[in-house]
Amino acid sequence: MTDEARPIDAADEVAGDAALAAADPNEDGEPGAVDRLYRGLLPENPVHRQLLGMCPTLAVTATVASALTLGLATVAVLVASSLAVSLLRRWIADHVRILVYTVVIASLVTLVDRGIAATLPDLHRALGPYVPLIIVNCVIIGRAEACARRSTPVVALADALGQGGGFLLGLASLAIVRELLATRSVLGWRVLPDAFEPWVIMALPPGAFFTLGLLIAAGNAWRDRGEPESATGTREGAPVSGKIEV
Amino acid sequence: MTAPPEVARGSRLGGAGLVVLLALVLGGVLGAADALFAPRIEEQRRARLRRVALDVVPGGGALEEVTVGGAVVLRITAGPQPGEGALVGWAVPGEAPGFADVVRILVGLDPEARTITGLAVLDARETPGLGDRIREAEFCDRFAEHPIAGPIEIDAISGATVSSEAVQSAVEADVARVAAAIRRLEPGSASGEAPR
Repeated sequence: MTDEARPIDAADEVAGDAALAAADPNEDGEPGAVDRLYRGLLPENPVHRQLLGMCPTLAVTATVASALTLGLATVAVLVASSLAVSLLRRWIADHVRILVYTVVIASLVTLVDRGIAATLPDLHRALGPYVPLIIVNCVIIGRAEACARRSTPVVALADALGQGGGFLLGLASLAIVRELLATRSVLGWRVLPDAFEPWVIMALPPGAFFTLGLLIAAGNAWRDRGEPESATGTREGAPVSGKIEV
Repeated sequence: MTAPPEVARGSRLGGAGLVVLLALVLGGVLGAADALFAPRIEEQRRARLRRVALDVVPGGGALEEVTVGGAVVLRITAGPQPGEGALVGWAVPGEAPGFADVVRILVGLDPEARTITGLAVLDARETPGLGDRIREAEFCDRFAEHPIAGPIEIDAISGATVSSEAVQSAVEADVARVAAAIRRLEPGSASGEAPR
């Protein structure tokens, strides 16, 4: 934003900066495109590290096909909205920025929703309301606020691909586990033998919570591997790589 | 709200102008996209209905939409063109509240609208692994050869009683009512009713 505009929404701006500082520990050295891309995929994975977009994460990961469809739709919207916000960033006044994000994101989601309905009707039916609900996915508005509105289009694109790819990976990781255990198949391909009794609960909402919890625990264990455990039982010096630790 | 004097009023209006401009431009884009997608979406819906209808009425070749007793049903003939050839059967939609949401089905009937030839679930959001099993052929086939008039006696899926009964009551209510309307039609008018 232009410096002249700052005094208007000083309070707003401070709140925004505070949120940003919390969200982006590395703000001093503005991360470059490659760094943004990598961060979103693993260290700041929206599903496993930031715990954002939990509603679709839990709801559409019963099968890999629906998870991939929703993940790709989210990537498409995120890339387009980040690019749009980045290109418009010099003209977006601070006090209307949320409105601008909402108009842009809602329009893009409607386009993607109609597009999927016209081309993949069966998957569209299976996804139910979750494609239109991409509008309220906080990953998308979060990236507009945390990155795109203050970055060049190249960095914004890399950030959107990283975070979107991370979201897609996160959804796929849950869906592979759930579909495999609930139906013995992945993407309809039979993997486990008849002797394996399907765990129906993995296709139900509790299965989504179990899988998410276990995968996050596994991710934390991997992150903290080799870290000495302190006397209090907490791990000292564990890197706080997640953007928003919950 | 008191804005510092050095800030021009215009900057606020400028911000609002961008929102209005975006809304107009994106609204236009959405309108154009809808004009492009809506016919395809409708086409897909019809194609699926045809596929399912020819599945629940074996031996059908062509179908046309007719209105009987206030409901749109599919009149299925041997074909090759809609309305041509011998009458093979009818495909009648029905719906009833299930466990999670409304269950929509399509039921195939013989030419006299007395016996069920097949049943398929068009739309259901029942519990995966339990109620969702009403989609499986193993359950749908239990309705085949059943007379449409009178109570439908079908074994429910264990663990999915509510969903099973939804399908059953959709047949007993919606489909049986339309079947009765079809039977009341004169044989001539049943075959001659104008396609919609």
